[in-house]
Amino acid sequence: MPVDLLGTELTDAEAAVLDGYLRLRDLVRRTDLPPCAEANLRAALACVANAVNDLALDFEHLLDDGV
Amino acid sequence: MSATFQYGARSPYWNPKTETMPRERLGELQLAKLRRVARWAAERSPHYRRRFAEAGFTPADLASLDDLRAIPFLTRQEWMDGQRASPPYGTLPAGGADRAVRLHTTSGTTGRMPLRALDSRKDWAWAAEMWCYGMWAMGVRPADIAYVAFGYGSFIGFWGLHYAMEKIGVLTVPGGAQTTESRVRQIVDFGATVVASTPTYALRLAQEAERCGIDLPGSAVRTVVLSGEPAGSIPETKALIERLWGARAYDTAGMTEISTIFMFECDHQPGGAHIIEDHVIEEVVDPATGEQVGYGQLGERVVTSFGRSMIPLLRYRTSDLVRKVPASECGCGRTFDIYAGGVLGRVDDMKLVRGTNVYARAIEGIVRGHEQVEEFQIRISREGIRDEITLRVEAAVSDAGWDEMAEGLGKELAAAHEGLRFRVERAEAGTLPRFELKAKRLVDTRTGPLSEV
Repeated sequence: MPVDLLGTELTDAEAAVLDGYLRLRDLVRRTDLPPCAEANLRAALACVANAVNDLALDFEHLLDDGV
Repeated sequence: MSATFQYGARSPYWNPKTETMPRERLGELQLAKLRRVARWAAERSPHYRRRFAEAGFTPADLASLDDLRAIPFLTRQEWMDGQRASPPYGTLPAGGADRAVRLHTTSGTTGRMPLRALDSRKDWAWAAEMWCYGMWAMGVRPADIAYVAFGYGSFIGFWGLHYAMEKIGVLTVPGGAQTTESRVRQIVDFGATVVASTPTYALRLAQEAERCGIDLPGSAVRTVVLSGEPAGSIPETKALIERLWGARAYDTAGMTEISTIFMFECDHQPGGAHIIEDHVIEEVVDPATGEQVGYGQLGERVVTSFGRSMIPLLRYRTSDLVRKVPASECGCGRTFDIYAGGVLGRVDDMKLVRGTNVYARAIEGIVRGHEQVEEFQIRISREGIRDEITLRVEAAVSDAGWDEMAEGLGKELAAAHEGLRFRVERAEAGTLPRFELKAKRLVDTRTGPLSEV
């Protein structure tokens, strides 16, 4: 089971948020997307990264992803 | 499994998971984040690489939160030195400006080099996020209409609040580049329920409303968000703002160095502001020794922020004077500790006049107890070998009323300052400086040319 930064198992809702974040992060790292998708995905990832950070699900820097 | 939290609009907390987290767990979370930020700084920031090596510190040394003390302090002077040595952004950034989407600066109005701060997309979203903690705690909800009485320049001011309001879903009116009268009329015309401004400007807006015959207490405004000056927690100033607006006023404080606020006053109004402790570590130290002081003791704020990827901020000496008290002094349920009375002043704020310590904040507390005062200025001068302190006041009173007010002010000021005699002078209406951002009401002319502090 995935755990948060404190080692506590994630709730279903938290796991879904983290999953969404990781999918967005993977999308941002693709190189075959047009500018409209690239830019909006980065903007979305910036926001979702804050939800993930607030909930202590993950905490990482995304500067090299342009975020 | 984690506890089930009350998410969504019904929750009194923006982030129930951490805002109500037991303090021991909060400390564990801070340590986990601190380790990552310290590692990031060591890997990416030229400044920290050098300073860590000089101090013999490595991020792997962080076995507990107490080990934070092994990290060397960062001073504003070091930040500025880095900007001079490696212009324009200095040696702190962990990435090039090509990774940033925003640049904000301090005002530089006192002749100092402006501090230049870069934010990435995530950094900027985080800046708004911190304001969201505060806005939600004040009861701001998506149905609100917010008016931001702010100039929207390169100074960071209320930029983050604006984005926070949008994030929450609030209809947000940017009140930039307008006259004060126009802003007052828009606040009323648009049915604003929340207004954001500095304490000084909140008073000025109220004066303007009165001059225009606008019934501000009768308007829809129920919340005034204050920031930018310590006055947001001076009880007399706050009470005056609440009375003139017919609304509740809440204090916040932030700084360009972290890009956002680090504390907010919740709707329980405990006489202080909660520190956003899942995103910052706030130490309070003796300004002279750098040693930590305990709860209830006055000291200097030292901030470590987890939010900015572009500029890691570890143990930054802020020069803000604060007094930390436990979260339990507020009944809101948050476990975030509190700065009692907000930011109480600056380490270099204290003035010595004929052997007596004088603080602008203390004077403001007395002056704002007189509701007819419209604006004031404190001037300290040297006449021969004697220092004089003069309070200049614009007041909406008759000549007879002025005599009575001046006598009262003089007595109150002397009583609060070991008998120090203040000259109290009446200034013509509209002659004293007005401020939209940080007010500078203390002018000390004793050393060479006129200097504002």
